[in-house]
Amino acid sequence: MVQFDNQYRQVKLKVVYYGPSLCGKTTCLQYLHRVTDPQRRTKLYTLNTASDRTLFFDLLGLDLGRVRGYRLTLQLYTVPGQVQYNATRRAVLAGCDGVMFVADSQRSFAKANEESLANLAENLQANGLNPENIPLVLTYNKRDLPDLQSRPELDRSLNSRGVPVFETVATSGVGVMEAFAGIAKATVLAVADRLGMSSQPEALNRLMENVNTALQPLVRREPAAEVEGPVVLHPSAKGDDLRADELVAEAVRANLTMTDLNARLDQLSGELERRVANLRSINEFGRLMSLAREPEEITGGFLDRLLVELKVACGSLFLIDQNGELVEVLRRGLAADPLARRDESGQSPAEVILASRQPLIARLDEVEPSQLQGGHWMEEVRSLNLLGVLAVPLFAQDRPLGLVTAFSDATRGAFEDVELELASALGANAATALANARAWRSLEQLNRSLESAVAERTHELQDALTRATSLAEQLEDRNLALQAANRELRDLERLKGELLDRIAHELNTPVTAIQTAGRILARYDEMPPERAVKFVEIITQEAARLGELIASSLQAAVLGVPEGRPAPTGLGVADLLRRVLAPLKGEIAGRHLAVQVKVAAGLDEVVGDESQLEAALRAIVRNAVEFNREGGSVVVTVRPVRRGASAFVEFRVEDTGIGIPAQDLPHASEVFWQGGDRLTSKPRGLGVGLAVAKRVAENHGGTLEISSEEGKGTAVGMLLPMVGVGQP
Amino acid sequence: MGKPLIVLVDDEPSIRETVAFILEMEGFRVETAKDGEEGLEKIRALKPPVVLLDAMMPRRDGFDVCRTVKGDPTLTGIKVIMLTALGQAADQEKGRAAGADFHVTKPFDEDELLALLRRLTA
Repeated sequence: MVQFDNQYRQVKLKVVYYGPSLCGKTTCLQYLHRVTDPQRRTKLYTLNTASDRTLFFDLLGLDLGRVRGYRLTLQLYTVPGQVQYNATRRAVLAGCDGVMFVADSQRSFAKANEESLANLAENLQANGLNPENIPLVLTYNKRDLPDLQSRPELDRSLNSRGVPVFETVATSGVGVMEAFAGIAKATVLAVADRLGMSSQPEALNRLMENVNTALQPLVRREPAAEVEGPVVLHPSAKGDDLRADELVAEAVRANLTMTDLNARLDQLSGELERRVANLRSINEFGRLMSLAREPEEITGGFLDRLLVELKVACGSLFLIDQNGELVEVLRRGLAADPLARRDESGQSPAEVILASRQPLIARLDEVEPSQLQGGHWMEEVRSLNLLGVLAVPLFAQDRPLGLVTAFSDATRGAFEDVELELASALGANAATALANARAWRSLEQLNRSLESAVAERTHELQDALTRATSLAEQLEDRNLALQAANRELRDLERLKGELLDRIAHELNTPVTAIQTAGRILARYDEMPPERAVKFVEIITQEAARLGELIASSLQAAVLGVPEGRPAPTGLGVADLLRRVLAPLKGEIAGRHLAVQVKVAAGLDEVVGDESQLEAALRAIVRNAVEFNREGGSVVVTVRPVRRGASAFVEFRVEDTGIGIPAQDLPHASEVFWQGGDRLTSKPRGLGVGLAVAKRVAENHGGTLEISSEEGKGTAVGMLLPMVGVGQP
Repeated sequence: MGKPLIVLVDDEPSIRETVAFILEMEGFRVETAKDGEEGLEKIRALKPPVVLLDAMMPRRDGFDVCRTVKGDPTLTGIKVIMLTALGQAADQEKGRAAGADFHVTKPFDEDELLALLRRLTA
């Protein structure tokens, strides 16, 4: 009878060690208990009856494989061998799935062996079990003692069914594990057969392979050094006081139920411990994750932690990328994750599992593969010698993020539900941390892009502002330039008007005088001759003045030709000055001016354009005469001077006239500028004299220097570069 | 009845000489002055019926002299003829504003000037 445990999805196979009293059943079971991994079995329980004991324990962690999704585990029992405990034996055999008959090989036990075997058949039948087909394995124990029955002898008397036989020395453990493996396999095979797996030879083969794989480490394993004392469940108060068989059987059944419950309790407390450990681990992991800021740190930390917790080396992490594709981002211990491989429809098992939103564990020896996977990838996993598959979809606030996978090999064993819970919890933590880290990162990116957008906009605004400012400045400059041009135009207009006024005045006065004098001469022909001479003189004088005016106008015209290139020739200084002064003689005499000419030694000649120099010098001297006071003086000096490294010839004209106000000095050589009020001081000329002189000096590569003190006089120096005669 | 007195103020010696000669030849008595300052002194001293006044002169220009004469209650009745070479509307306007009675531009026709003087001194 197979015990299905629906809560834990496992099937308990009950194997009973049977045999005569003192044959070594208990020793075998104790050895088995010592050999098996403490984490994969319960404690050894003992149920004491009057003088014998019933020992049992569950091999819960021994993963023999799965049938219809149920895990196969073993429950091992011994029975008391003494004749008087038949009721106990019968009770223990209830629901038994396989029997290990332990025979005492000593010749003296031959009868006891046969009687016990017959008793077994009887008790099996009493429990509704068929002794002919119950899985049975024989152990011939105590093979190390003298006076033994031979193997054929034992076979003849005990093995009429021809079942597997193992020779053992239970006290030292020889053959005990091999014998155990034998009965375990026989029992699993029988259960599988009963559940209809014989029609699936391939699945059956895999199941048996798995049983072999699971048992192999046990067979090779050394027993634990310390013997763990059994847990005594129900010490009997009474010695030989036997009751009726039925009464004992009931008591045993009750005891067995209790021990079963104890074993369950044991199992549950073991699971509880593991869960507590898992919770601690989850908690610690959650704390770590909450500190992590970088998505890469989280994904790597999560996968490695998961593999450590599951004690496996292989696994992968998949994440959904920006395009919504599930992409493997991390892989450990595998060349490629079998769950990533796409089938003909283009879908990968990983995607199918993520779409199901359910975590899953699967083992490859599962008789009926999970409904979730197509199965083609299972071959690949198997070819990698992997056994268990664990896959946990990752969600953050119900949004799928990815999937984590882990693979175990046969040595490690398949994954258990508790491990799936652990993986799911770690996955939930990692997913939340990852979502937070991503949110944090995109927030940072948003922040950065905002900052850079603000900076860019600020820059643009600054640029625009700079451009606007520069435009405004340009406009301001243009405006100022226009205003200046406008002022100049107005000035020019005004100057033109004033020039016309002066020309009108300057021309009208001599013309009027000439005309009037001429009419007088014509009208009053009888006047005395000396009077007539006077009018003739007026005519002559005013005519000369008109000539001068015309020359001035021509000079103004010269100004219209900028930088008139001089035609330099050697000029006699004395001759030049004579020609300059000649036309001014009448004026000089009329104003009683003293004219003095001083020429430095060695400066008999200068080089320059004759007509330009004459016009310039006359303009300067005319100013000195016209703006002089009555009886003043004019000093003309010709001398060498230096300005910096350059040598010049200076024509200096000093007068004792009205002078030029300091504020007017910079304008003195501008065209049409005239000293004094034009009405009251009424100078002669057109106001072009100094401008002409300046232009001429510059035409010769020289310069014009003007200094003046108002009311005292003015000094004008025309500086020409010192050039040797004949050298242009 | 003596010859009518004309004060002629002009800074140009040739103008003073020629104009004074003609006026004297034509029966006027002429006193000349070579600038505005001197002219004003002679006008105040002699109180002539007519003054011939040049516009552009040193020390004190003709417009200023005219304004002073016209603004002086002791000089009422003196006719001022502005004698100017400028001949421009702006200066004629300036002369009118200064109170000048007549305006003669140089060069002038001596017969027209003599006719005006005779009318003013009749």
